[in-house]
Amino acid sequence: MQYLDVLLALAALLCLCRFFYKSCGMNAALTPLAAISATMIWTSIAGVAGVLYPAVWAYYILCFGLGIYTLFDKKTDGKREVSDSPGFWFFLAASLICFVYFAVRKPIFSEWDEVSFWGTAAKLMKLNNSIYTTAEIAWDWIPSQMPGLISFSYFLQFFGAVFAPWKVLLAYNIVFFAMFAAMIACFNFKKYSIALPVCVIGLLTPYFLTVYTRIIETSHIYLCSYGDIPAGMMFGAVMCWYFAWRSGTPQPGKYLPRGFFGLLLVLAASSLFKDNTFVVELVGAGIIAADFFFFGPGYGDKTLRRPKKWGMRISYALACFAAPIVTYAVWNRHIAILARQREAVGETGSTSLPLTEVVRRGFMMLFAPETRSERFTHALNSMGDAFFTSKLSAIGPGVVVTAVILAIFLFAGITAADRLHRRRVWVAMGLSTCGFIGYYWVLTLSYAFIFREMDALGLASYNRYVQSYYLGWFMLAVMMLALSARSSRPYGLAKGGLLALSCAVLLCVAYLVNPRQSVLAYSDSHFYAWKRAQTTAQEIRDTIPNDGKIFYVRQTDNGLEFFKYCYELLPYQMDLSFGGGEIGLPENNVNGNIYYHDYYLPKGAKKGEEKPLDFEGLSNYLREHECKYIFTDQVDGQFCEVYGGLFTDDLEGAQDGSVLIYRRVSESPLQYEPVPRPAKEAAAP
Amino acid sequence: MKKIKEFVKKLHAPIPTLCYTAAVCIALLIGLFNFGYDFIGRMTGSIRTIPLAPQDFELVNITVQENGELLSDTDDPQLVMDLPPTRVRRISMQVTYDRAPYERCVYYTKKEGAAFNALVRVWPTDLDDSKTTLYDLPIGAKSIRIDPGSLRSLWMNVESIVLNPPRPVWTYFVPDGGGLFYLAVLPGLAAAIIRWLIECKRHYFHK
Repeated sequence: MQYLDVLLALAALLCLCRFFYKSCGMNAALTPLAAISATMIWTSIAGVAGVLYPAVWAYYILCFGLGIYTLFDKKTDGKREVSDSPGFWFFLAASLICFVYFAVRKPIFSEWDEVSFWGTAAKLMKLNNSIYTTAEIAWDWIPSQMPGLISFSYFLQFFGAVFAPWKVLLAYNIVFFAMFAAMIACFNFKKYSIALPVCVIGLLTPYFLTVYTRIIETSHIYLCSYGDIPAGMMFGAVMCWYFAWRSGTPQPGKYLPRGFFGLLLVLAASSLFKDNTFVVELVGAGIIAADFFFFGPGYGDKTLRRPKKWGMRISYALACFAAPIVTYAVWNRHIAILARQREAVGETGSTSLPLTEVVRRGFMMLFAPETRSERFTHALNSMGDAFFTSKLSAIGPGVVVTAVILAIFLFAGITAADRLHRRRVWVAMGLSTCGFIGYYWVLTLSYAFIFREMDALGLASYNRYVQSYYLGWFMLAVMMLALSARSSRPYGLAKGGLLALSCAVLLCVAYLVNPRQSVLAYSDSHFYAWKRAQTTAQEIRDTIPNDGKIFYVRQTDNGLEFFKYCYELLPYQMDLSFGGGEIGLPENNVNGNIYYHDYYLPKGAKKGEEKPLDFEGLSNYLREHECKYIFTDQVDGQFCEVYGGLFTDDLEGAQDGSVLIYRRVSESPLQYEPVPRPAKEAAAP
Repeated sequence: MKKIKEFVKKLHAPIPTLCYTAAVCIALLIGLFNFGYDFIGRMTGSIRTIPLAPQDFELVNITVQENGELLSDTDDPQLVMDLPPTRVRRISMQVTYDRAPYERCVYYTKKEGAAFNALVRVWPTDLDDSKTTLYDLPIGAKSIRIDPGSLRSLWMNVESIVLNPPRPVWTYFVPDGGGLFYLAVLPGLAAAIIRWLIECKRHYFHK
């Protein structure tokens, strides 16, 4: 089942796609994203409800059942539409090629947040067949990040015997391909001169808007399970889906093409990608809602153009807003319940300010300068500077990206021959620009009130957060230009501009990105350090049973190795172990190293009652946390001198590499004895 | 000419078909040319496989340590060879580092005595053994400058440097992932541009 599980998942998705286009009349190229969205919603809600495993089984049966049903459904014939849909065939071909490629090369996680959340959450979900928020893990905070992408990766390897990180990365790429298919959904093969440049631009957008210097190490784009790029692309994909869908022919006697429910599915799923891009997804929903409201139903048929139908306009617009809010609210309610449960037993719940309070304080400080805190002023000034100076794309800082996007909108609007489309471009341009200003403001407030002080001072992850908006904004602009290219004034100008843009994007990316340092032809040596953790974790699982928590020791770690082993050792449980870093006596922390742990909080004690991490302190900690094993990944002189008495061999084995794991053998006094390594591993340096 | 036009008209989607066919043919011809050039070079002795040591190069911003390892003095360590003993088409380096070396590349010039230029260089292909790196140079490369890293105080254990290591025949003709991507995209874009030009010509000149 190593590969069959993925093929089964793809087959189920294709059955659902077939149902959508044959029985529901949806555009064939729009069905993949709608089907994936439905899968994300179903799996996420099932996870929240605590019925994940049976619900996904039921989902598979439903998908295959619907596929079989379409064989007997004579209502519509979708054959011609599918064969003439480059978007659908692109999705299918790209997904299969990526599947074969990843199945052969088997990439693994290689970024910090993949082992500190995204990848670990996916592994927990697979191992436990339940939502990751309720899983037992070393972290002392709730993994509250949105479940959409992780749930979809769970669906993809549902029938697999073991968890495979390459299947998670494949799932993300399949979502990307569905987005690009939606971008070219309104073009058939005869319009390849528009579809192909749009597809090329779509594929290269993540590089174009996130790579700002020549790559010198393997780029993680299309090789990563972070949610930032997918969330930004989904923001754009939802709007592209909508405009492609509206370009379709309305049903006879009706005002809209079939498949409105598909729009609600993709809108609802968009808020499940990443929590801090919810605002961005709402902007997308707002642009769609505004289009419904201002331009109403009826498109393509002049006799139906602009019927009043205010009730219909308002109800469709409200439905567009409601869809992402409902799924967002369901998830946040689940997290709120968990946070209250954890607080009730004295564990870490939620410590952030509520968003409403943040917004209130932000507006108060903006309009009343005398009330501004130092941190707010710093955030305001830094964000202003960063917009003009912080390089974040192949074409430079945010101000250049914004100018290019607005120029594309202008060009699309000026060259559009169709008056209705021209107005649509202006409305989309105006609203998306206002949305950008609003999002930038929310980011400023986040740095001012929510993030840690250390992160706020340096605008940590600024690029990642703001790129999420640029990605979707750029996709929307390109979509508008592509629609203008279908009929432009003067003839051919919009298409020429689109072709020039695709060549420019390709040149920029080709200059900055060496294919041998990208997903296309990366070297496995990129994963060398990460595979060391994989091998070591396997050795530990082969050496000891899963019958106790493991305390992790790696002096000079900055937390990365801790998270790596939290992930790699699963289902074995690691202790929080102070989150990795150095352990020692308070008087030895001369440099104020933030990764130096010299105090601990005993169970039942309150903040301010910390005790030093001397020999007795560590002994008490190990007892309280019931750590049956100690994994000595790296010890140093200080550790051996202060804590050596806990170990029957005084840590000699850990120092010469012959011992990795120590097992508790005595409670009083607390003693750990070495567990011998296999001879081959003990001899290796 | 008339027969060619009739044949083209019968093709399904003639412009993309012709563009992709031409691209594949060009790629094969380039592979054949490179293979032929290297083959003849080896037969005549102008291209030879030569193992070298770091000391055979002019070391710039690099200090050789007692144990033979190299230590970079600045963030721009260089191994320069103005006149290699053979035409250089490929360089293989086996080197291990004490940490990630960041930017690595090989500068080259096609004229003797010319200055190295940041726009004229090639990038590494790392093999899966985590220490072997290959650099493929175009025909006519004369002087070479190897930048093994871009960090100050970088420790480098250079196990071997080989000019023109043996190269399997299939690597001349089978593109890697990047080559396949460009082979998929560039002819398609070319076809799209040709189609656009034809449409504009028909609209403006054949109304």
